Amino acid sequence: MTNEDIQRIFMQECEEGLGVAEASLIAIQAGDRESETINSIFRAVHSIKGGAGAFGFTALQQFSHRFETVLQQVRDGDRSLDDGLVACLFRAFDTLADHAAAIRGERDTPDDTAVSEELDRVAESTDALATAAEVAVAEIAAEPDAPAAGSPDDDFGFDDLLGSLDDVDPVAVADWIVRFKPNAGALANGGEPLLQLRDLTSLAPDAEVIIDLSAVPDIDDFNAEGSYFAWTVRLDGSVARSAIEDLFEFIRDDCELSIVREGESCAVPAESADHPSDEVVSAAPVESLVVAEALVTAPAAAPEEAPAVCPDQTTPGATEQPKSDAPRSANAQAAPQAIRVDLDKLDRLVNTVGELVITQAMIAQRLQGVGADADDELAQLDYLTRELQDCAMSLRAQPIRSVFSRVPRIVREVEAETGKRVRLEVEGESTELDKTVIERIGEPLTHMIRNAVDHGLETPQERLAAGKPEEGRVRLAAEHRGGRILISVTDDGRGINREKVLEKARERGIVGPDQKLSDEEIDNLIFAPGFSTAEKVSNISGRGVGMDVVRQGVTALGGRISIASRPGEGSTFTLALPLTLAIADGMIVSIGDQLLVLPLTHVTECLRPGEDEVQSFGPGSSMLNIRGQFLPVLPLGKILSIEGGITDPKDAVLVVVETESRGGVVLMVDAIRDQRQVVIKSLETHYRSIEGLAGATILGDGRVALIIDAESLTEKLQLSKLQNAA
Amino acid sequence: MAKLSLPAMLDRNACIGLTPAFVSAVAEGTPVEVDASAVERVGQSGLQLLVAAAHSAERRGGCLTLLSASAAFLEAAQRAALGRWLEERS
Repeated sequence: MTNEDIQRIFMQECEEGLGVAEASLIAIQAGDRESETINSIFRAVHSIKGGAGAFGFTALQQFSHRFETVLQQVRDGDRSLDDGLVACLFRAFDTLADHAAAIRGERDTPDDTAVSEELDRVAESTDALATAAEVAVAEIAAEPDAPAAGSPDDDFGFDDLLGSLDDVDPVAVADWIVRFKPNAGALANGGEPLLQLRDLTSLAPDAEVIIDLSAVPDIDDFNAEGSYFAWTVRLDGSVARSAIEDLFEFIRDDCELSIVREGESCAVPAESADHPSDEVVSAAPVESLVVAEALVTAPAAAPEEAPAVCPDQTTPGATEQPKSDAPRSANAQAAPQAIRVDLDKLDRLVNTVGELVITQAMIAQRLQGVGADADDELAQLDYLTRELQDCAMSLRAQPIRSVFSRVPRIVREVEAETGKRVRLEVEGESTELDKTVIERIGEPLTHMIRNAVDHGLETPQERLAAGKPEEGRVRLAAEHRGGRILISVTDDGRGINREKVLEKARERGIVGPDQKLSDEEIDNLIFAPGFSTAEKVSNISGRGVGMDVVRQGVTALGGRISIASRPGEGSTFTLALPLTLAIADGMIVSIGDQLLVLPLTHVTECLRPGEDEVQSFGPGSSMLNIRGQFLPVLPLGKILSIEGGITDPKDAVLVVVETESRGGVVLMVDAIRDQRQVVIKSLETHYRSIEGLAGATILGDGRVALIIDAESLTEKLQLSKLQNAA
Repeated sequence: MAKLSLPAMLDRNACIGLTPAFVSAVAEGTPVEVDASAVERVGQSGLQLLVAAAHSAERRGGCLTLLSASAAFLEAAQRAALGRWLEERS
């Protein structure tokens, strides 16, 4: 594993830590005062500080140290969590997130002066604890460019600098007894526990090391991938505990570790626990290290000793995770396990499954062609392929939490900029969807949230005047429905001012002066390019690009956006997104000699019209009367310039599809040929994006068929109609 | 007497390959000589293998002797607090 790999892991863990910290802060804001909640924030910030120090991210390290100092005071009960402090912690969190983004190269290093001063003021107000920390921070600040002592080259040799940052333990009298037993995982991927041992002993010149060989098995039972050594190290008591803890930051899950003061009740040094004292032999000093050894000839396959872990006195990681760590050894199999997998490998798996779907279709077609009776086997193959596909797609699925977690900060920022007060409600954070969708939904969602607060909600004064609570409500929700995921943003604000929207649209020539539009059509005007009703341009909205960008972003993902608004009561914007961008169930239809695919998620019914069910309204324009409702018939062949197709709707097959923007529309095709899973191949990647088409696929006979995007097709036609009318 | 030579890189992968040779060398309880002169890098895995082999040889009435241990080998053994253990088997 290279240093870059390790650094990348740190950045991922940094992001995860921030997610945990923010969730806990939100819980605290809602009134949670459980000690584990503040502990989880402390742990996250502490880990970030440790990693930042190891990689020389000084600004991040300094800031997280300040943040950690205040969190420690809260954790230790030195101060209570009032609203002012919670707000301060949120500001500190936002700045920490900015620092983390800066080390990922996503932005410049933030100016944290104001928040740092605020944290210092908070820390100063209790006292004795903070003083030492401030001195240490001041020392680092004096040398801002000095690299951390432990460079990545020393395999996470966390530096003494970090140790100096932490408060010196007030009872630093007795020596530290550190017991370290690496697990097999510590030796995997090039890991080398001897380096931790080297760094540990370098913390104090007179460190004593005792090795425990009792777990080394007979050579017949020896597993070269196992870990059998354990060490007990006695260190001078003046060494900061955090300096010791930080050395094990990145292998904490792969070792048993206890750090106790000598003579404390839980101090069970290896020599006293495992060996008679006369087997402990002191050796001559080697360089600066005094080495002692426990020479033990243990019986073969000696059982592993229980870790000498004291719940009250181990490292923060061990102390704060007793529920997960302590049972880990006993119930390792019961604990959920996770591994990190390179995304490229997952993509390859998904692509391979896609190819398998195509091959399956080819085999089915070939067998049917020769009249082979293999229906049962094909059904089984189809079932297994779908199972495999579901598994492959679930590997790429992630909870939408990672996107939702950004929302509280956005809301806080817009609150600060507008003076509005917002109560954010979030639901369905664990709803899962494809990673690609997750990655690309952030920007549209940000626009929607900003618009909901800036445009949707009234000012506190306006709300009071309207008989509403001063605090506005914005609800963000996600749910699975019918093979799609729905994400909605609901506000209880003023609703869309349709008169104003129509007036602006007429001013800008988007709508003709005498053109009559339904409420739904007026609402949808806010998605028109360059449309905005904001009186002035602000950082938040009013540039006339917001909702247009939202629609483009969502459409690019194969999704739809719809609006439901009631004047004075608020609006709901709903995004309907596909669960996956890779494979879909499709209806294969033909026009002339061309085959096309209609995604089944859009299709509501298919029919051959009766004599009186289709009514013509001029050349090329007709409506289908379906149970009393008239729907426009779109001649798909004509729209796509396919020759040889049926032109009279009465002779064609009519497919009713549901669209978000236009409701039901009818697509006219020659015939329905098949219904099967299709692998979506991007036109954008292989050719270029074409409006009205969602992509292409390869059919069982090897032919390429275009996949129809009914939504963008109808939007395109609607837009040209509006433009013609205007 | 069985004779074995340790490679320059005595890491986990090398140990996986070497283990069968050690199993067979100590099986008879006869003396085993291990040449550690070429070792340039050794970690916990390599040291564990030698400890397991030596203790197994001793339990079977034999012994394991390390010959010409390189500086890198000595340093790693001392770091792991195996300096005296090594002295007794050199």
